[in-house]
Amino acid sequence: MTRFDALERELTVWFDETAIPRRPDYTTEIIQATAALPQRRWMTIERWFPMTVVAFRRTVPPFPWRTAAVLIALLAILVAGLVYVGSQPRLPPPFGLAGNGLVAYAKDGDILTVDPATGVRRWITSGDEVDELPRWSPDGTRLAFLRGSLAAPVEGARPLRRVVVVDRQRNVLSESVSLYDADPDAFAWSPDGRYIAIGARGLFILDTADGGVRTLDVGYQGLDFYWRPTHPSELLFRGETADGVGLVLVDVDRPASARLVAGDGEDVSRPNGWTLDGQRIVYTLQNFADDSAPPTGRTRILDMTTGAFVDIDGAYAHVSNGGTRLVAIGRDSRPCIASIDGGPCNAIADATKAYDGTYAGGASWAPNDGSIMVSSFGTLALLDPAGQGSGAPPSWMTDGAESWQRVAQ
Amino acid sequence: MDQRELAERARRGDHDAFAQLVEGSIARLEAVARLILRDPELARDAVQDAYIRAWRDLPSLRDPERIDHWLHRLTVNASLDVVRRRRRRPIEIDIGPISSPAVSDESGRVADRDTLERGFKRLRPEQRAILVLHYYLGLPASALAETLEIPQGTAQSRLYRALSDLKAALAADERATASFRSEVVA
Repeated sequence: MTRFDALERELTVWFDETAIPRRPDYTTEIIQATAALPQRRWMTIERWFPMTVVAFRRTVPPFPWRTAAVLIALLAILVAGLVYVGSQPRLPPPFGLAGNGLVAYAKDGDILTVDPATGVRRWITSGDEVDELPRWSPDGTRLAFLRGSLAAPVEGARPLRRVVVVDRQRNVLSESVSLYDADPDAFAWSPDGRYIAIGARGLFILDTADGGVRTLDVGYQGLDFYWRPTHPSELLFRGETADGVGLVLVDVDRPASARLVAGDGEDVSRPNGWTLDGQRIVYTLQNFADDSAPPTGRTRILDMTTGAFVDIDGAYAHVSNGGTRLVAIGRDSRPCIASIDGGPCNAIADATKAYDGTYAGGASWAPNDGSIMVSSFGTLALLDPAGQGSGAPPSWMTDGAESWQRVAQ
Repeated sequence: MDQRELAERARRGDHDAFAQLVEGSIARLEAVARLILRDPELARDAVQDAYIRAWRDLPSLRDPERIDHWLHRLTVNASLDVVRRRRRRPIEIDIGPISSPAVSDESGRVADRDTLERGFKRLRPEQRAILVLHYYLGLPASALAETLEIPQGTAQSRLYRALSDLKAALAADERATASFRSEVVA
């Protein structure tokens, strides 16, 4: 039995022993309170009229000549636009600010894109296989995602997934061999688009040109990883070397180069990214010694050359595309914005808009840094970095929002 | 009358059927909320919020067969909302029904109950929720995915990460205890 198995067993026993189900004394209060409340009613027309009436009403509208003319004109403009765009290939830089393109997301095992400007959705994949975690390449020309080979997985079976890379026209460019336990939350393109790093029960590097996968013999410890902007084959991850446990930097073309760049002390470190110059690493120090719940944490921005650092009072940071700011979760659980050079972390929304900081996809800046997509269980929101407005998510992101395409500005 | 039938009737506005649903599920949901929140008062708020939302939104429940998953989701979301709203309030542990039984350090144990309690409290609420759903309610990955409305692979990943973080919290606790002991000895 492994130490992990033992922990799982003990957790089960502890839960059973410490939370014996009982009927709470406020049960009657709940029943009485709900009896006095109205239920929400259906708002669709079908609820109030027989379907035959609704269907009839829908079948006889006059032919919309005006709409058709507008559509034809729009189509002509679209075709002209496509021809123009096709003849003028402009790509965004792999990092730094870019224009906002389509947002890709997974829903019911399919991959879709939505255009935030128009709300138009488009299926990229469909079928029995389970596709998830779409990620746009840094130049916005390709989309990678994980595809499960088991349409109806048997419980307890180890999930088997492969990486599929498609272009904007949905042509499959490459497909990897299947990997056991590929982690949908640990999946990142290198800045030059040559590689995709995949976390599974180990760290794997996929060559996007041919789908070939190799394993990196490094002490990867199963969290997110971040490619170094200025050195496209260098990857930062949490792991272990002969010098200890902490943040490790490796050149994926030379696995023996793995070195510890920030060792754990009293705090446990987890990587959050880089500054644009590739000189400073950004990571969270989780302080488990602090007895508050949940764990407190702070963000450290460490210069790897000089060893100088600044700490920010907020954890699980995401660096903006422009590289000057970061969003983090403050001590009061509110999303906050701080300068990359240090200083206070100023709240931009209430705690109900907090993202899940335990995986890289919990928050992502729009390519133009105009907004921040955040998600957690029961939370999906688009935050304004300036702190203006914190309402419901826009309709285009109601089904999900995972990866925002970078396009040329 | 089975759950499905009760849910169907409650969906059509039968409050007696809803009351039976509450009676049949509240003990389980209350335990889930207590485990996630580690605070009986906050759990009470969460369970109340979850049932009020359940009653109000029942007409929109498309498949009464899935009433259990739906109630679990409402309870988890209500618990997370409560903790987000009241994060700064000091957490008080109910010494009675959810107290940890005194267990001596047995050889081979990963952690004793107190350590487990401390480690668990140090997880983010989302992580506590997924561990409770899996290890307390026994929901498999497919049901976790359905309950939390996330892809199955993502559910597996979150579960694995929550366990990893719990392990890290326990290790940190162990280091802190060892350091305290060495200071006392010195």
